[in-house]
Amino acid sequence: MAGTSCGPAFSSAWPYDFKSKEGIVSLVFDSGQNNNPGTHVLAIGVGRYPHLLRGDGRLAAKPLGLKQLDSPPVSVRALSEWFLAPVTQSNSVGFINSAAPIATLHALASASESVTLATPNGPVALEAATRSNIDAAFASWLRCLKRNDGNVGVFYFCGHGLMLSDHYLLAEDFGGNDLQPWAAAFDISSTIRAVEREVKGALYFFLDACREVSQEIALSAGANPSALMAADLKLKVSRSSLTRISATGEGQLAFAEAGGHVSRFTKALIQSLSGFAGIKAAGQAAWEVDGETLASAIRKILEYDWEKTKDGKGTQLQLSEQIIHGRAVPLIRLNFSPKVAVEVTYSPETKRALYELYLQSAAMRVAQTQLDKPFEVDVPMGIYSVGAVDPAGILEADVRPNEDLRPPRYNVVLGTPS
Amino acid sequence: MKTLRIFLNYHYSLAFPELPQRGSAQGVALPVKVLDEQGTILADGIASSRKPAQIELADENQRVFARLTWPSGRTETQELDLSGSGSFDITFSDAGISRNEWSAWAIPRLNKGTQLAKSDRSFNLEIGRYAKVWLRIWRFEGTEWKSTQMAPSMQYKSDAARQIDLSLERYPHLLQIGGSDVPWRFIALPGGGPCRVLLTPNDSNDLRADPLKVVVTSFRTDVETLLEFLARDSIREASTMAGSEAVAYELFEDKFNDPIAAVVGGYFLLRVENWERVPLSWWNYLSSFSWVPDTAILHCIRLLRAGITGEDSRLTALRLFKDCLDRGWPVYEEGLQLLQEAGSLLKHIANAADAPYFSRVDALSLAKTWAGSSLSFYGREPAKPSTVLWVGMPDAPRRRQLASRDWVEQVGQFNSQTVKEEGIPDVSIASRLLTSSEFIKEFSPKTSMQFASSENETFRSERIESDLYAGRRSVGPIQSKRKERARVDTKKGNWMLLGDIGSDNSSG
Repeated sequence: MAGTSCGPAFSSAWPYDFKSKEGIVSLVFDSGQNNNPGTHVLAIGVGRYPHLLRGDGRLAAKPLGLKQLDSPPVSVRALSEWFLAPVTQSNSVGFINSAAPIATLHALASASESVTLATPNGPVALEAATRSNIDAAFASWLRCLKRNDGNVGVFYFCGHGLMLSDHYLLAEDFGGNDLQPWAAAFDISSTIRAVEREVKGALYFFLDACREVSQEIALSAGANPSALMAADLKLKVSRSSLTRISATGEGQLAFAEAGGHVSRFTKALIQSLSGFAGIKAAGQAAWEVDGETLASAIRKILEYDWEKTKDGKGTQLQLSEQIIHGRAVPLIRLNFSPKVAVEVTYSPETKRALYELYLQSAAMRVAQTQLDKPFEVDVPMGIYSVGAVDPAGILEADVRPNEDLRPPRYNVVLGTPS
Repeated sequence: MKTLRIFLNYHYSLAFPELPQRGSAQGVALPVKVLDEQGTILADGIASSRKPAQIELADENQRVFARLTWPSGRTETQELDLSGSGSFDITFSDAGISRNEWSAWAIPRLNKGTQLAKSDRSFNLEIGRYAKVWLRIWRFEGTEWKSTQMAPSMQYKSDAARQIDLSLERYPHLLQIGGSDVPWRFIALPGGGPCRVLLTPNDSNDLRADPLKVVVTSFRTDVETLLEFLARDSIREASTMAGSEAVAYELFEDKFNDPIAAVVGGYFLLRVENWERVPLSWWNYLSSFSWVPDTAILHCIRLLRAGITGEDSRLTALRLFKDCLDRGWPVYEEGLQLLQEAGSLLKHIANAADAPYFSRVDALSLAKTWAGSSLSFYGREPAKPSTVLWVGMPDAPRRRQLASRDWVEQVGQFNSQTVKEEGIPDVSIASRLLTSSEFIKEFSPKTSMQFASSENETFRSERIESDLYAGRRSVGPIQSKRKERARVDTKKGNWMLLGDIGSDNSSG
């Protein structure tokens, strides 16, 4: 593969010896097709914070009550491998966009143990997500993004976050310098305002971090994290579209299941991107997943997952929040109809096993007959008849025609008034 | 071609005055999409109480589905058999969505499954338990907020909601509500005409939601529907309502007759990044309506998005940012987003003397809460949005969450030291300092010292949990028992109880 990275041209073939070339330690994949429209991803996961509570470094003077996180390294690996999956192994579930295929992936991860990504050229161990590495990765990602007006940029962060009126994200080395405790945090809100003046393509920011209002930061005059780049106000806002989806609302917490699992938000994001979101207008060849479609799908998945688990666990509802600007530029282009995860059940449950629960469209019929459990099935989106009928023809049927099944989920309890 | 006409028969629109009269006003209007069996969108349009959506479809379509969408996200889908040729009609009706015609207008903006639209309401929606919640109106005159006489022209009541009609002059207005268990919060009201406010218990499944839902209309139904979609980032539906920007353009063009509607047009054009569609001079004219603070921030952002090319445009952008804040608060939540954007960009090129403005945006951002497209924030005084939740009656406010005295003193010393060491700080640091000072005032040592010692102990044991975070966390009411002397206007007659709304049989 030719060495045509976004920075100065490399003479060696990919994969490069990143540490010796321009210091781009984070570039783990480069398609070499940087003159064509493509999707450029920068993914950062910070779980290890040596200067925060239970860290392995000197404790920060003000650790803000923040501890080590299990989920970010797992989450960043899951999302990065999802983006690379189709180029790593054909026919695998992953990123699909024929108009802007995956072009580069920059990734950083901080964890107690090394995080290794599966890439088309074998496993790659990720460098730590320190502020200086984030700065370098960001600069390289931005350089890639600016190469073509049709490029799509994806920025993903999973780790600690705080907010005042802007949202601040914490790099691995946060708290390492008592004289400048906030030097290893960065202001992502101002960063976005800078980037949107630098590029012409579409931008997607996925921020999987808490957005709690910290009194510590609110009350400290010195707490003023810098952006990854300053906005050049002389420049016009040039990006075609901007989608910022935050894992949680302002002033709220983001969550992950304990024990090193993919976070709730990232799980919902990957599921939405994997065929559980999409919209198509007449005349379009593909089903498109743009910011609005994606944000709606993520929110519904988070809400549904909470509904399923809230009883008995005391789980707190986490609802994502989004800002969408500009015209719709899809991140994903599916060549198949998006799926809907369906759950049909019957109430009262004592009668459920007497019924056949079914979905029927012009093209297909799926059913579950006389089983005492909810009918769970994935079907292509569309208009269906959804019903419960007694195969013996004795009990009263409940049939709902023209149900509009849209991704990501459809849940209905039959036998009760709609 | 086949012609499909989609009618909207929402009978409440008959009793719903549309003000002010715009030639292009559509009355009650909602977006519709026509789909095939696979969910592909074949066409879209606006169905209104005055005019059906008229959609042309190719002859090969034999069976299609029309989907109507409310701002809340609720949809209704109907099948249409297009066998044969000619035109085909379909009607969406509101029959049975509300027992009370007077509250029907608000239902499309409430939660998808709002029980207000159902006849079998649950006990949870009983508004009687909020009878002691109080309301008052604030008006921004000159340079300050003044509480004004509550004088609803009409009052309505049911077991699930209360509603008042107000007539507001051309000033920025805020409605404030509060109670023993209802945090004090403000909701911006559009001035310069009639205004209707509906209050109903919040039936959200989110435990963090405010106990009472407040929905506001200025009787610009179609324009407000567009804005409600925008507030929920439903850009597709908002674009349908805006008729591919034509409506937004018309609203802007009519700015002298209806600046509030023009503001909505401006918000939409900025969202879809087509702000060049109208001339810069229009944004300039619009910003002269000082009784609508949103107009100034719209013009400011228009300049910033285009790039600041010289000293003049830098000064103009900064002046407009400050004008918006000097005129009160924006009417709409969209305006707060623009204030945040402008604050974040301009603080790098402003003077330290401007720091109070940036600090006010910080405070508003932190205190904001959700009321659909209307701006809403927590606080005790209209000029001072606060993350501290206040509860109680107007003449007996008390904090719902407290901070410890020693911690506040420590931070106060730290800030003083910063000023001493750094001299006059830059605007960014100065605004942060001011934000800090406002926090400290609310957690002032004077009042903190009056806490009962047992409460201090209780609080200290929870420090890790509640000391690090302000405002939004539900840590339960840890309250000062001593009532503070009110610093705000508590003149009797300037507030009314929710339970008294409609008690004179004016409606019901």
